[in-house]
Amino acid sequence: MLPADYISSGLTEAYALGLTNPQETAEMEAAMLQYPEVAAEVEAIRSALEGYARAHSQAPPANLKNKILARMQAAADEAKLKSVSDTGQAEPANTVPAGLITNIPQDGQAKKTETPAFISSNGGMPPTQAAATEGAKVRSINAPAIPPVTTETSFLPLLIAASVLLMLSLGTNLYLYSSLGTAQQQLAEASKRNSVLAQENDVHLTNFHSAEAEISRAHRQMAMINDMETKKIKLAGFPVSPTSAVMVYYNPKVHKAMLNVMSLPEVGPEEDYQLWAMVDGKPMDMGVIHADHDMHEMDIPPTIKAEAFAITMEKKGGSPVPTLTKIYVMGKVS
Amino acid sequence: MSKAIVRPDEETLVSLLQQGEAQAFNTLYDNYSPALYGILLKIVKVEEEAEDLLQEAFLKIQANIYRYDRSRGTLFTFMLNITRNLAIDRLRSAGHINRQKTDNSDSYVHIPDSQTSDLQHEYIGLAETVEKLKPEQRRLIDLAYFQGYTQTEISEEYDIPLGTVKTRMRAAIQTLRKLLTN
Repeated sequence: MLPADYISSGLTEAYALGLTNPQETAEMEAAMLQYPEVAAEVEAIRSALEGYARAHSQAPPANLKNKILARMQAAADEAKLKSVSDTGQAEPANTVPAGLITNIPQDGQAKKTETPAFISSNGGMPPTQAAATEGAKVRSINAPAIPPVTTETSFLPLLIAASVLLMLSLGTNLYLYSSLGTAQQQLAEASKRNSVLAQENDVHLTNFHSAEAEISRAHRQMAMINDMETKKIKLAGFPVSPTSAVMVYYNPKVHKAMLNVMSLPEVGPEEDYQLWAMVDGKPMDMGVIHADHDMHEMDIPPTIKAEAFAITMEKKGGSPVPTLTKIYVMGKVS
Repeated sequence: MSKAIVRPDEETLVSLLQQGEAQAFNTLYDNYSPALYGILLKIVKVEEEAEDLLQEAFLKIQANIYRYDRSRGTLFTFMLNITRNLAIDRLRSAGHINRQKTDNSDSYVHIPDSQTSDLQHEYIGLAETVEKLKPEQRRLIDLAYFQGYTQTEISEEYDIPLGTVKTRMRAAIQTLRKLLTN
């Protein structure tokens, strides 16, 4: 929309009346930022409306003023007390004596003066406090009208400055103390994180070492398989388990064999598979093997020359002689 | 126009209020209570209720003064909105709002007692100026500004097309502006 559109749309009035929804409010505020003429229009409408509101002014009953001021004072004291107790520092609240509220001049008197009620109704204040307040703050509001009130109170600025510095210092201490707490907490968290990381690192290191071992084992096995002297023997399934198959890599020169179990039925808890080497037509115990699919490495006694290999299922721990009815696989060394 | 009324420097006043300065409450009260009370009377019509609401309004203004943002309007508008909303909430929660009831506040005459006549004097000029608005223009502004009716609500309540409400509202405020600047 163009500035003129905002102005003629009725949105300007609605906004100045405080009746726009959040979306319209955002739209108007953006338009006011963008177009000074829209902002000026809103300001003019607002000012006219304020005049309209003031035209309806009615003085509230005189006794209401003390009541309201007392309640506002109480609320302010409560807020101050709260902020003071938060700092753990007992500072006497610099409140106006109750006398002030009852000593306020009649409204008429207060209003006739050119200066706002601010000053004229100061009458009930103790002189030092009134001077302090006027000297420090109020004068800026009514600069033209009020003569400076500083003659007999030259130590007051120092006092005020000292109080301000004290408060600042207390505030800083509080801030630093809470920062220290935060820092300590962060440190504790960081060292906790650190030990967690160290543990993780240990795990990674272990994994790394086992991976390394895995690789070197794979290299060794590969070397063995690729060795010219290594014989590759397929042990085929027997009637007990026709689909079973085990590959044996046998190297008579280095007296080693590797078993790769392709397929063997799971053994029960009371059973084990046992490898036998046929030497001169007799089975020789080569030990118990585990029917997993990993390469199973074993040493073969250097004195023997295996003609065939067989695997039987035996009782747990193996048997001195093979159970012939339980030969699962067998294959000849070619 | 409004410059005829003595007003303290808003920024200073607001910062003193935020510090809980007793003198600032005094100034705030002296400067704004007649306008706020007048508006409350116009909305709730019952003096006792207006007095009660005026107390609530000042406490709420005090509690919310930290929210005041000069770029979003004058302190007076800020206070007026809080006061108006309190009064409207009171009316609506009490269930005695009668939206169809014709607002005859145009003829609302408050006879000030002797204690308040001096104060009243300051606003007589303004009141006379506003009297020059047409009754229906005053009603329109009253509905929106004091009673918090949106233009859509006015359109629905009074069965006037929304466009017409907007045009009339704009015209009424334009007239008001002219009257106040003269």
